[in-house]
Amino acid sequence: MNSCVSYADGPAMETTPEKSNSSLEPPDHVVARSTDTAALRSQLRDLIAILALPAVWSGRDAAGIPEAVLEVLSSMLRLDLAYIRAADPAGSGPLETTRVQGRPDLGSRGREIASLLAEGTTDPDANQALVLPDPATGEPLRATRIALGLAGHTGVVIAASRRSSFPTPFERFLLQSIITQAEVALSNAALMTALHHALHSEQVARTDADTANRSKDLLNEELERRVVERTRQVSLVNQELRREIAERKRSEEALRESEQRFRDYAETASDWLWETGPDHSFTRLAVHGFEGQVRVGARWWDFATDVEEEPEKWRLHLAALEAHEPFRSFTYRTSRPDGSIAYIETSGKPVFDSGGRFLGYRGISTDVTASVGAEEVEKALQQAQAELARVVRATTLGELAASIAHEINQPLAAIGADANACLHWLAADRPDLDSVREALAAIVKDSHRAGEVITRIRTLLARSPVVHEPCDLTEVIREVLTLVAPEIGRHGIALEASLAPGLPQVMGDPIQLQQVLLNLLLNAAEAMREVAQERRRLVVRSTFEQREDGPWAVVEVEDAGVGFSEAEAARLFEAFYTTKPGGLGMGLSISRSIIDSHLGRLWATANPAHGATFHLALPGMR
Amino acid sequence: MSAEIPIVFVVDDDPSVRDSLRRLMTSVGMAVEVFPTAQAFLNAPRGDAPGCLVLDVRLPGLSGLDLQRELANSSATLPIIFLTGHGDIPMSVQAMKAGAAEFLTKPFRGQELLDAIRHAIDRDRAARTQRRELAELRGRYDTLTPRERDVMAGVVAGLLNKQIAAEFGTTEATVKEQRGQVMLKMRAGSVAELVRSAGRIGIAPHPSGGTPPR
Repeated sequence: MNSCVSYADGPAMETTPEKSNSSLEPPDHVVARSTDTAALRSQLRDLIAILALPAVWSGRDAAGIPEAVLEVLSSMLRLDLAYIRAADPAGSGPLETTRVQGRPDLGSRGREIASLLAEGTTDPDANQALVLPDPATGEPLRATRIALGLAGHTGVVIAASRRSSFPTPFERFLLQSIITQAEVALSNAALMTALHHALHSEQVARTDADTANRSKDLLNEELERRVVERTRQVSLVNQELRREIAERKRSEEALRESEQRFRDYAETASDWLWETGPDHSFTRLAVHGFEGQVRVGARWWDFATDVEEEPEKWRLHLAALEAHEPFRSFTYRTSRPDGSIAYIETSGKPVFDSGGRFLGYRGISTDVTASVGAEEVEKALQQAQAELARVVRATTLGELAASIAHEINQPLAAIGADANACLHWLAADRPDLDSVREALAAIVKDSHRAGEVITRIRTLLARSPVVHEPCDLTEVIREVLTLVAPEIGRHGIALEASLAPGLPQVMGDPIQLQQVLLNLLLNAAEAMREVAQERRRLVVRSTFEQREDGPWAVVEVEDAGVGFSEAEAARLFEAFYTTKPGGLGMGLSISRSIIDSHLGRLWATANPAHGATFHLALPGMR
Repeated sequence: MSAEIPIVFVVDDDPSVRDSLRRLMTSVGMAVEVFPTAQAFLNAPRGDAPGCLVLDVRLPGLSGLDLQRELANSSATLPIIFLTGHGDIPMSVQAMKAGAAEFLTKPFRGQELLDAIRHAIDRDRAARTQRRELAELRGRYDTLTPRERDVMAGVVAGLLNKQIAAEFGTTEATVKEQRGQVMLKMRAGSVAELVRSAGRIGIAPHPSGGTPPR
């Protein structure tokens, strides 16, 4: 519609050509050649025809419009060649039509040429005169090209003529006008097509919409669900993968570290790392310092030097190996390449394959010579202390020699007398066998009695190792009292014992504990040597004390002797301190170290009236 | 007199020793009595038979030495065989000084002890005989009149009758008669025998000699 308005606007029609081409001045030209009225009339007819074009084309579909445009152009402008290419509003690709005057057969060839031309001149500013060869005759044609549509994007029109004046300004004006009309028509056609299409589509769409929407919703839902599910799975898998990767990295790292660590250990430690086969010979070895001796194929006992000395130790070890048991800290002696003695401590565990078959041992050995040395020194020290204690014990027993001899001589005398009696009876014509039997029974009894005394003494004198074991303190006290009672009696001392029942057992060496008590009792007897006989009273008392840290057994030895001064009190337990003439001064010192080693206490207090009391406290077993 | 069965007393606090000693004595036919303490021995009635005491020097309560002293103080002397252990040297010395018959160290040999016992019993028997004879002599002497005792002292001193008569201012015949009484009462067959008897009861060989010490 607006196209009609613009074409009706006369001045608008005249100004457009003026602006586009300064040489074109149709009014002047028309006025100057007023005689050519026939031409003017022709031009007016053309213009009116052009105005009618939209009405003519209306209703046609888009595909027919380019053909109609070319027809109009060819007839109005007497063209030899016309070409149009326009975008199909239906969108199926550009529409192309070529028209060659007088030669309809050349349509295809002309199109080909025009296509080439059109392609080469897509520039919208290239609306200028061109020279084309005539597809039919080959003679040159003057051509003009005009872009179609807004900004020329929708297509192109090419018009060509044999006339050398082509295009005249009026022809150019006509051309432009026609094409503008064509654009409008094409545009309308496109709109119509689109409208039809849209109407149809809308109808189809409307019928399918609901189903589609429903399906779509369902699909969407399902899709959503699956996506969520899948996303979740993927995320889980990813997580798992990431974890696994991290894990692998970690274990790889750990393995590497572990390997490195063991390599470091093997290289830096003084330990030997080894593996043996089922026959206990070495299969792998990392040895330090014994390289020549300890080699693959050898066995422990091939280079140990104490196999014959300590058969029992080795027997047990071999038994463990044969039983495929793990072993720890098995120590044996060997000699270094330079001949010096070394102690090797070895630990190993058996290795089995997945089927449980014994493959050998894997383990570590260490040169513990230095620590064994220290242990030996410690052991020697302990031995020396034990030996000292024994010597002191022997000395103490020496003080008892007279009463011990008496204790042994009594049964021996009885045995001698009874044996003589038997001989006399048996020598008689009619032996008194009943009496002989009685005497023999007495002999047996007395020999046991003498034996017991000797055993008691020998136990105290024995070079037995110090063994801490659960022991009954009451029994220890009784034993000592039996031993010492004759001596106490010999000194005219009244001995009283008050032993608490149910004394807790203590951890200790009974011999050493006897020694301590013996020492305390003899000291007490000695302390009363100078006091009046009626005052000589010795009390042995045992009590039970429940303390915060558990039960304690306490033994007290109370005398009524000369006691000790404050100055003496401080030195009582010193070694070589003695108040006895001829005394060694070791008794109390040793006693205290013995009690210390039993985690107990030994101390002395002065009695209110006379004498002293020695206290001995030992932790009871719980 | 010697027909009396000797008896052995044993005092020992050790029952084994005590009983074995009892069996040993019995096996050789000796009569034996055993006591666990000195006091028990002292408390027991004792016959007059010869015998000996086997005594452990080391006894609870009254010790062996105490018993020895006790016995010495009483008239009942009994030979004592001490049994000792080692280390009893000072006690043993003391015992020997106090007249112990024997001193045996435990363990002793059975035969040694038996020999010691026999010896002690013999000595006891002899001592008893001697004591009895002495008592007899003393008893006889006790029957003498004071004048007869003076005459006896003169005789023992070797004085003649007339010297004795001169000393007492009597006749020689009176002295002679008194001298006969002395010989008779003292059951002396000869002057020598009388002198011996006088010596045993401790009469000083002098007219002025007083009563014998005991």
